[in-house]
Amino acid sequence: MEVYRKFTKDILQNPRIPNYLGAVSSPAANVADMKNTGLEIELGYRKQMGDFTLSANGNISFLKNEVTNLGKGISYLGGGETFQSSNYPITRTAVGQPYNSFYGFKTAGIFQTQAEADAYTGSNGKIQPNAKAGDFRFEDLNGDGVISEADRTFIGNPTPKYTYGLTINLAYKAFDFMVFGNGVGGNEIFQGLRRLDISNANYQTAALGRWTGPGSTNTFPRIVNGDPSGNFSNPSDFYLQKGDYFRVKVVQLGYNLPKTTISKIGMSRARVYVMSENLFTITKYTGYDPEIGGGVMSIDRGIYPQARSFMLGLSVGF
Amino acid sequence: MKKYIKFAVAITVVLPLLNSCKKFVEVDPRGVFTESNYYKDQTEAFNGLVAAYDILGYQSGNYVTKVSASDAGSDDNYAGGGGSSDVPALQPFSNYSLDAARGPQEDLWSSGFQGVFRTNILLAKLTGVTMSETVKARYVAEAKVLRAYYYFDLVRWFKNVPLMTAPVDIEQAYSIPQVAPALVYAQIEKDLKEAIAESNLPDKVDLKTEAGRMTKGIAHALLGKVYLFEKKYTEAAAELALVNGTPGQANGTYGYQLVADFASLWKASNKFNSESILEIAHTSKSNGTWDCMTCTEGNLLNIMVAPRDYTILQGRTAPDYISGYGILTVTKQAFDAFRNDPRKAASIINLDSLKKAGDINYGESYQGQGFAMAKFSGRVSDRTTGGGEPVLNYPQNMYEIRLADTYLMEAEAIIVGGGNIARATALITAVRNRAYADGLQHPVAPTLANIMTERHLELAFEGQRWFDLVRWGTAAQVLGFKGFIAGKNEILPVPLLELDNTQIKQSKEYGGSL
Repeated sequence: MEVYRKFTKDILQNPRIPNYLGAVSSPAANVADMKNTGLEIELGYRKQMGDFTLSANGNISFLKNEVTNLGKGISYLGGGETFQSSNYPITRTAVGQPYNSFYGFKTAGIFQTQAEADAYTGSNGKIQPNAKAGDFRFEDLNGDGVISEADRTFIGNPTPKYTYGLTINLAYKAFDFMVFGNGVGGNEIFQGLRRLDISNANYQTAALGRWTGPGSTNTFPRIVNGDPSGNFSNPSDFYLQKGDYFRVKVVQLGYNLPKTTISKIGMSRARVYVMSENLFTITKYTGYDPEIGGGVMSIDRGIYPQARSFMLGLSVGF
Repeated sequence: MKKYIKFAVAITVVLPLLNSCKKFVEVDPRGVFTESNYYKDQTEAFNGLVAAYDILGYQSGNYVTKVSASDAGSDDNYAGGGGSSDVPALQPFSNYSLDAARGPQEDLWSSGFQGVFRTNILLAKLTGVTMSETVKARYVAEAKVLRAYYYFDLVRWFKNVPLMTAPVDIEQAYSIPQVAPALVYAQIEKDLKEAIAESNLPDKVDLKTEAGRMTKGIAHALLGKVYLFEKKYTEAAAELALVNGTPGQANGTYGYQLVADFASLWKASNKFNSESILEIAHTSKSNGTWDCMTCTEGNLLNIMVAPRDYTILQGRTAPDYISGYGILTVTKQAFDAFRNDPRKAASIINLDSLKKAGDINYGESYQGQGFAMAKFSGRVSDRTTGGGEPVLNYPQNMYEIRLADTYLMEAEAIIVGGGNIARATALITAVRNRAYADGLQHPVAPTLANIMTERHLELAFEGQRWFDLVRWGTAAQVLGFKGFIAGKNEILPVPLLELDNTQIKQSKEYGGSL
């Protein structure tokens, strides 16, 4: 068991340089300080009962990540991760928040009727003048009566709160069995599988449950040409899904052929086994694969999912 | 002896360690040029000059160019394309749903300032370069014309921009404020006047070797245009008169003359013709690929505006337009404005009528009304036979300023600001006579209304219209059908990301404080 608090100073980043300076790329600079607080626990168990052997190993680590400093007078880095033709960047690195937190609008359900949309008013009249029945109600967080960039906020954390792994080994006489799984929890994933710039690009089947009339749904807005109310082009919590998963990465069952048999054909060891990788995953995430590697953590731009594989093997020794 | 050896070893090992603790090792990068060791000789200075010119032909990965953006905002085009979410940078300008986050502003802002930055670096470095002083003086004058050009676009698009005439120190990088537009215009005038006063800036260049380089003719034309936008009509007319010479005849000093055939202006092979003043060069030979759209020197507009799924039916003949993306589809308003004007066929493709005649098939663009731009739709005959992605390598050049434009600008300056009305009449009539090209006279009365019509028809789709409408104050009326809001849409919003951690403020037209 290990408890730690790690401070990282002068993280190398490419802070956005204002375009008026004429630079075409942002050079790296030491800009950020970060604090990682965590706990790591590893447990093992081993037991032998006659011909039967059991061993299990598990580990879990908890992590809390917080940006502590971005330079004098700077509360957040300009720019952020972009998502296609989305109206705004989808992440922001800011002091006091986890690194690269998701940043966008908060939705508060869907206008079920035109009357509801028209009744959503502030100091300037209608808060969403383009909204029709079936569009998202975006929260006017700063209360100025319009939905603008100032109404965006931190809406999710891309870094898992905990990650864990588990390995179990069983052996009985000539048979052996191994299963290894891992998982994460407590993060959000930006589910960005669909192209925004092509209006007839395919949707996932979730779109079949879109808003089609009063009372039909309060979570998936109407689909309309041009997206005049920004249901999809405004980054919002609509795109975020829980990234929790548990995946059985490896399962293997083996059998060692009896020495007496194989020694006749000159072998000292022979084992046949069946094995599967990525046998199954338990998750509520609707994208292809919640285990998003490469690029930026927890932004799913349609990564190629990992394959489930089955193998039959024979290993021999002479 | 052994003792000494040990001691010597100790010294050789420890001493460098002591040294190395003092400071980080700094190694000059090898095999690459850095800004501090470049600009040593004339070749490197020339490369810097080329870099400063390069931004003239800026085309973004979002299909934003100066021309594509101003066309999208005009009454002649809709953003079009494959659907309402195609070309997302142009749609908000086309339907006037612009805000800080949506529109073409980020590309226009950043490209303009890239130009400013490159000219500022060049001007700062040139003083220290060992090279021919006369050549250096010419480079300086060219850089000043370029900087004036970049700032003229920036101040017209955004009104409130930071003014930088030297490379920016890193300490000040985030604290540069915007300045009043009058100060920007003053700097533009200053740069152009200094360039004109420089004897080493040539009146005209040898088109075989130096086509596209800045000349005194360009500087006068640009200054005249700047004056016109500042409503300094007398000065504008005087500058433009130098460029125009005698209406309808060749200008001996700068070499300009209207070409005889209006339609020939739009042939990709007719580069740097006698009518061209400031021309932006494209080529099919840069082998551009999708990996870097901004890197190609081909003309993106050619593939963008060509009609969608354009095919000539078996056994029929029709113009050899390529099948393109149908972006910037032409409005009914533009088509109707031409009535029976002889420039209609060279300006607009009437897809609908070609289809009804059984000659072609095509796919209608989003918001399409059966028309496309003839001036800039790519031609099969111009398709590159070299490397690169063919659709990104069409070779047509773009006119930034051409003589018909300066004729009409001078005539306008005279009509509005006073002067020789007979000359104004001769200038407009020369443009119109060329349009008809039938050997007859087609006199035009010298009124502002006629200038407006003539500019619309002569310069349709060339990126002038939106600026003209704003300048005339008729934008709200003409563009009302697209949602233009008076007092707001005369400029573009400052790009949202520029406001992060800087002193840059949003214009009050878009809810800001400037």
